[in-house]
Amino acid sequence: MAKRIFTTKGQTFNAAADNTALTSVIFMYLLASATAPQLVDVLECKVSGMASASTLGGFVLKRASTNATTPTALSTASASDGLLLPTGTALASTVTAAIAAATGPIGSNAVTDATLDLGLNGFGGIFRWNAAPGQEWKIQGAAAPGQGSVLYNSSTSSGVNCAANIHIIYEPY
Amino acid sequence: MAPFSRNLYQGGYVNIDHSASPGMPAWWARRHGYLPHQVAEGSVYEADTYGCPHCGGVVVKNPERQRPREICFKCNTFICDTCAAISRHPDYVHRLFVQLVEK
Repeated sequence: MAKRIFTTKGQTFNAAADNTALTSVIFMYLLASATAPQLVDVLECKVSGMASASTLGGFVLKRASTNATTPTALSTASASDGLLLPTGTALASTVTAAIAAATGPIGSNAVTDATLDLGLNGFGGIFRWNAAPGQEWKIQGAAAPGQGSVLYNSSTSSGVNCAANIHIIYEPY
Repeated sequence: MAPFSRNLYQGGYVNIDHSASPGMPAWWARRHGYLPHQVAEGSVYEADTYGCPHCGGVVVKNPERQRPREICFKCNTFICDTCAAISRHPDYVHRLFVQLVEK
């Protein structure tokens, strides 16, 4: 039982094109440990639009075709990553959760890479996707694109800059 | 109605709530695979989802879909349309997502 919630609060997700390195604090990035390699199941994604006017949010969860370099450890009050079970113990192989990095991850635009479309109107819209057991979004591998996934606001998906509160529930193994 | 029909399997769940929002414009809805009324102002859209074992992605089941879903008879599960197209290539080798990333 090592389920965790990775949350951002009040973050403005400036829209960025697919297949470009994302700048800091416009994405949510999960990187599995290359050891083993570690399997990570994404169990739920929820996006709550917090824009103050009608705004197209082109949120997507994509595989990272290039992993981020030097992800920054979460340190601000605008993001958190913790266990669902408060008395639980984190695994030895840890998942990297980041909203900033020296060089951000690149959201894949390969036709053979999966994309989860989380688009909504950021002015009051709510998008929640919950996976069935055994049918979770999988993150696994020792290299891109399987090792990391990134959630961001894609201008390629018609998104424009949009504030949102987002959580990702995931379970590493 | 078959008791173990794949079509009855509920799987995952997606909820898109624009009940207190202007919703998405019609062009955006069509581009992203929705019917305009499903994500329009005041709408709440709910649908089942399933996972594609070939690419590891998630498919939102369109309740308005008429044509049959793609099935991989080696996995005996539904797969997504993209992976189904790839699986028809003459040199296709059947591999699951977890097998690909472990290589």
